[in-house]
Amino acid sequence: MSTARFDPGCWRDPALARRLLQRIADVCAQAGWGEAGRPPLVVMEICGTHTMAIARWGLRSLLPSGLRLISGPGCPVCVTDDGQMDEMMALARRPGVIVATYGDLLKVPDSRGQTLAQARAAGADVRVVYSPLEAVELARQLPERQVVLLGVGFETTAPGAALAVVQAKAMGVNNFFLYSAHRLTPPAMRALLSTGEQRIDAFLIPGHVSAVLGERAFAFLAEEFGCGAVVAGFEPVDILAALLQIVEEAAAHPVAELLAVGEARRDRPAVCGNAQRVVHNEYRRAVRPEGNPRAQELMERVFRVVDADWRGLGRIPASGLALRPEWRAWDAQIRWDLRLDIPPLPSSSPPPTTLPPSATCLDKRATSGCRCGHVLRGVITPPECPLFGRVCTPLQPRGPCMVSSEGACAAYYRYEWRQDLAGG
Amino acid sequence: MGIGGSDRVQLAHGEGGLFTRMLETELFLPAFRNQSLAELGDAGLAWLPAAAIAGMGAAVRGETRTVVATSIPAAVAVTTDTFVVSPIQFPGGDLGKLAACGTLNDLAVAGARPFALTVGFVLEEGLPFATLEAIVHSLAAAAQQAGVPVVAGDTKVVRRGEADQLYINTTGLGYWPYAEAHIPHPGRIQAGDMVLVSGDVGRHGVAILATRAGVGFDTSVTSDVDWIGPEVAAVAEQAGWEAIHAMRDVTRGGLATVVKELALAAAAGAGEATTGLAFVLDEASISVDPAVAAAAEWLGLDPLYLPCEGRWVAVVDASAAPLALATLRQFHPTAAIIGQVVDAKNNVEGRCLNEVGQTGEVWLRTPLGSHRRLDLLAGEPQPRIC
Repeated sequence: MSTARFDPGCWRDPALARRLLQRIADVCAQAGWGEAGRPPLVVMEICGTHTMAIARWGLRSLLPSGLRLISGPGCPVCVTDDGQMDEMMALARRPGVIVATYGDLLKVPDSRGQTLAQARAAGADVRVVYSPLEAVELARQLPERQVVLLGVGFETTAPGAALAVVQAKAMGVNNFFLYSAHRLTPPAMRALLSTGEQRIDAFLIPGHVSAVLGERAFAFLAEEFGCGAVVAGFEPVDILAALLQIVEEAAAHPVAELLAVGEARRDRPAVCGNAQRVVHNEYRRAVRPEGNPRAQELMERVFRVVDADWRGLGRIPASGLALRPEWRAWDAQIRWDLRLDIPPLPSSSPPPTTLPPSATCLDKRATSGCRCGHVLRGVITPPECPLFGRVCTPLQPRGPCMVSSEGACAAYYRYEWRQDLAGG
Repeated sequence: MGIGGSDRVQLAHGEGGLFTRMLETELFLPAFRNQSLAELGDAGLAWLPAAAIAGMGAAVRGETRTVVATSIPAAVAVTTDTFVVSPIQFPGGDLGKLAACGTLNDLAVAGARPFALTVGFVLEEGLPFATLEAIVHSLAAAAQQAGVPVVAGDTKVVRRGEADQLYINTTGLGYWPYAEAHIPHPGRIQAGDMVLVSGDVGRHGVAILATRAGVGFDTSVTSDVDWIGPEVAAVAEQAGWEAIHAMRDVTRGGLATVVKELALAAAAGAGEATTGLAFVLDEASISVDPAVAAAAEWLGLDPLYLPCEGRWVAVVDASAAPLALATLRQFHPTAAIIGQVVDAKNNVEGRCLNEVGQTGEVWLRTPLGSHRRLDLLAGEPQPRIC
């Protein structure tokens, strides 16, 4: 891939950003959000790159108080549950196995507080790769070893992992295996909206995921929930333009007015489209309505949809990807008999209306006071966690949201932390 | 015992950021207990024993340990560094040039003039002589360019697999040919000082990442590895040593880590109460080559945390800053004044940023007018996967 063509151009233009900020402030002031007892408009982003971009550009501090940006379950490493971390650690400790992983996973503790970085220091063969095909190449070069790619991430990384499996087959590399902990974004958004635990007026839809799935994959947000939804890129002007779209639409068509329509739609899902709210695409330079058919086809060919456990959200139906039976020869979960096969749910299954108990008392770490689960659901912001910035820092993280560079806690700590914000 | 939550050494302990600092302060410093070492500067100060100086025919003043009549310190600047970078050859340089420049640059930013180098090699069985020869010649050429002789050396060969081709340690000796009071030291940093960087940042990091197997992007970026002595000497000559309050070369943790280290050292002051100093940088003034920015963007890395090997930061008296900048620009047009030292308690911007008067902070003003915090690199920089 050539990188020579990157040009942020107008997408980082300070003057344009300031104009957008002014218009956002005007709309918010006119709507009266956050004033006189009226709640602020709540916008959730669910993508680690958005989390980091918002923090890196200090956007939160520039936005009016009537618009509240919160982070959702957008950090792939953060949503990977303890059970899967334990399985990956078990794989890393097997003699003869090389575990190939993206670097971010190295520091995430398993249920016993052990990390892959520690396992590596203790003798496990853990290699950091930048692309899935590197792991296939590693397996080809070391035929006497078993190379397991730890596949973590959303629809953005899943096609690459699928391609690696297809390539391994084509090249006759039979000592390459994929451990799939891939997750799907739309089911998590549906789960969050269905519980109603946290007010979410609109979503910033991740541009990378949309480039694969297409904007239509998110139509249910508008149609079923009357929720604002704008596909956004990752430069400050991208994000601000999307936010302006969101506040303008919310001001023109308040949620209450739409909810009745939304309820009606949910009863009759065959009727498509909400007259007043649709998914908008601010990121047209990268996202087509239909997405990337080739990437979708690859995922379809290699993966099947299964129920999956999410840290903080519990088990969400049809929200994970496992290898199809015809690819079992490359499936690490089957090769090492790691877990029971979970049958896929019919796609028409109703969304969960309450989160399972495991979500509120999310895992063993919950007892230590870590509130990663609440952070991942947007119920609290990182500084509202009593551990944040005091006993939980990137150096001594208590939970994955502080470990991963894409985690909301790490983003807050790294870029926005002030002592006066710490401790809730 | 454990350091950074681990009971074993991890790669992160050697990456030059927070974990390295913990290793130094929790294990090494208590063991060696030396004031010069404890300052964690680029080079240490080894005082010559009075008897040695007397032997040279000079008289030494007892308490300040400076040579009588010159106020030049009777001390040697010492620094040592071990180079284990992979690959050993990369666009713009190799391990030999790196091993010479890295150590010489540490002396240069300590304000010292290098006069001798030592070199130790750890060679892996099976290393082609052609490779070794190329690296050695490259090291020799860099030392010669700086006019510094290699006066001692050592060679060890280890079994195949016990080292990755070739490791090099270099130790450098330097001296200060001017008054002790003018030696650059973070303790001399004051509110109002300007922060300069000698050129664009992030080149070395991208050049290394691009050559590591399988990263899979084409880039024209070459490492910035170079001997910075002439740049430092020119600035010192123009602005005067008394105006140069502190210097650091930008290495593993990138510009952000180096400035944060300076801020922490400045805030610690001379050991009494904290000074209340913080740094505010202006992001728009920091130059990043478009190809470096592109590669960093693609990998999801922040250029401010990418390593350099030929860039340095100077904290200079505000009155000398324009002259220092003009001098630096003769070497690199991308040199810039990137920020200022503020009193976190009394400066307007400092107050709005640090409502509880935190010192030792580094704030970066983004082009949008917001501020974000810079910190020591925490662990090796990881490409994003989302």
